[in-house]
Amino acid sequence: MSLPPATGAVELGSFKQHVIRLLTQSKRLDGRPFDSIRVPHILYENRQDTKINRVLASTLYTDDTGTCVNCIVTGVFGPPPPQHPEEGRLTVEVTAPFFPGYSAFQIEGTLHELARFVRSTIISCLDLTELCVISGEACWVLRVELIVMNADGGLRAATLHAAVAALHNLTLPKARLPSGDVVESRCLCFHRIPVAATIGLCGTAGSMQFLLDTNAAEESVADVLLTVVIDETDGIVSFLHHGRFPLLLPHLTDAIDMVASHGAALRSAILKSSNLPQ
Amino acid sequence: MKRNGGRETPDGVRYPHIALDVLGQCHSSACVELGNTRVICAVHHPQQLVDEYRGSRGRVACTVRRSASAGSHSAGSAQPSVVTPEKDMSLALEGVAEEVVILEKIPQLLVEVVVEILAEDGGVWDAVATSMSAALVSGGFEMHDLFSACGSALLSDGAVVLDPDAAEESNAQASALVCVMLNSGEICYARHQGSCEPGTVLELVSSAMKGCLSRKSAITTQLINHPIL
Repeated sequence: MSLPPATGAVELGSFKQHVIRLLTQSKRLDGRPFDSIRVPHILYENRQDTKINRVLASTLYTDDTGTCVNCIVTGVFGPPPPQHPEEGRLTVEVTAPFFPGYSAFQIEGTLHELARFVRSTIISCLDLTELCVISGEACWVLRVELIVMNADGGLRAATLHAAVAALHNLTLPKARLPSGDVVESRCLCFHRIPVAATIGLCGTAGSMQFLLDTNAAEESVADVLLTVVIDETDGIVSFLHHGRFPLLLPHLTDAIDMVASHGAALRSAILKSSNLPQ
Repeated sequence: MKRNGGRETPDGVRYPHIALDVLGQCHSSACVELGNTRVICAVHHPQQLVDEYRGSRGRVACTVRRSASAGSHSAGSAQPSVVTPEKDMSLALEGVAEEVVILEKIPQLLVEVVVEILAEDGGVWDAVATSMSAALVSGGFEMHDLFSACGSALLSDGAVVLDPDAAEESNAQASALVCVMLNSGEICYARHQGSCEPGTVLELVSSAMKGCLSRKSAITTQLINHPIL
């Protein structure tokens, strides 16, 4: 469900006890209030001078406490999927090469789940027929590769924001098919722009504490983890809930309202750098 | 002749830009940019050797991974194969690290080094060796010397160029690579590909050594100016 936190030389059990003690005192590990998010920063890399690469976009997602995700989008021509001949193809791959070797097996399932989450969320916000070149014969095959350099909680939100920043206003270049047809350049646009945040719930005696934008240490001690994805109209794009006990409806609506109150800030942080003139 | 990276002469090299401690979860890390080539090297916290007993010496394990979008070599291969050039590079780097790092100072410890090639435009070995050297130094491991690598190529028109980029590498008749300790000048690793006369091989290797040592001041200046070291 989550990548293990980096505890350094401290044992994980002692680290969890320390985090639980801080949460009972209404404190967080990095000193944030319970309802604040870590504002992301997107670095958009211009690599147009290197013509041998098929890299269409490259973004680097960072926030204040060290989560770092590199997103690289490459595109080639290929046949469309047989069940949807009028659509293009989009593949998402998530790797975390800088984790220690002994934990590579346990995090592989987490990375696969992350890739499926990012792909399904992007497909629900992006029209894949824009990637179609010739119906049934040729289409753009976009490959989104997400490299998790540093993981500090909220990985679904971080990877989704990095991918959305790379894919929004992506220019598919002018190219020539092997049959000789010239494909004009096209701009890829989202019809709704998703933003996401992870919320952790800690159930103490009778009271429920909401932790907005959890880090890795809080995810290891939280009883319930929610990931909320909303669009510009505060419509719910995706909702994931993992936990030890079921939640009542007011908790779910409170969680969605917490993310919706920060949706505009997240969206402007993701899209502002992408629209800079290259 | 006009070359990539603002170089005018055949013996011009691209100088690396080194950033230390770029990853927070690792023991030490370094990011090296060499023109359009970008490499991140991470050293994990040393751990006890469990499965093998090495006596009085530690061990350095190296893993090299290439991002699927790094270069144009992945266009032809749909599935990742078992035998890759990265596996050869990691084995060679382990041999280099065993020569450079004083393993008697870290007995029975395993130091795991992970290298990720993010962008590639020739000079991958140069960037990987420089980043690994910088990461090991900033991690506090005692070493005999810094090390770096440089390549040279024999183009089709007979010119010998230093530090070839991706286009020059693909069009070269022969190429050589040398991994050298920077202060003592000892060769840790040498490789030659292609076919040419024996005199040209010597010229390629000596050119690569010259290019490697010409980067010495750039590398040591960036490492010395770091506030931690």
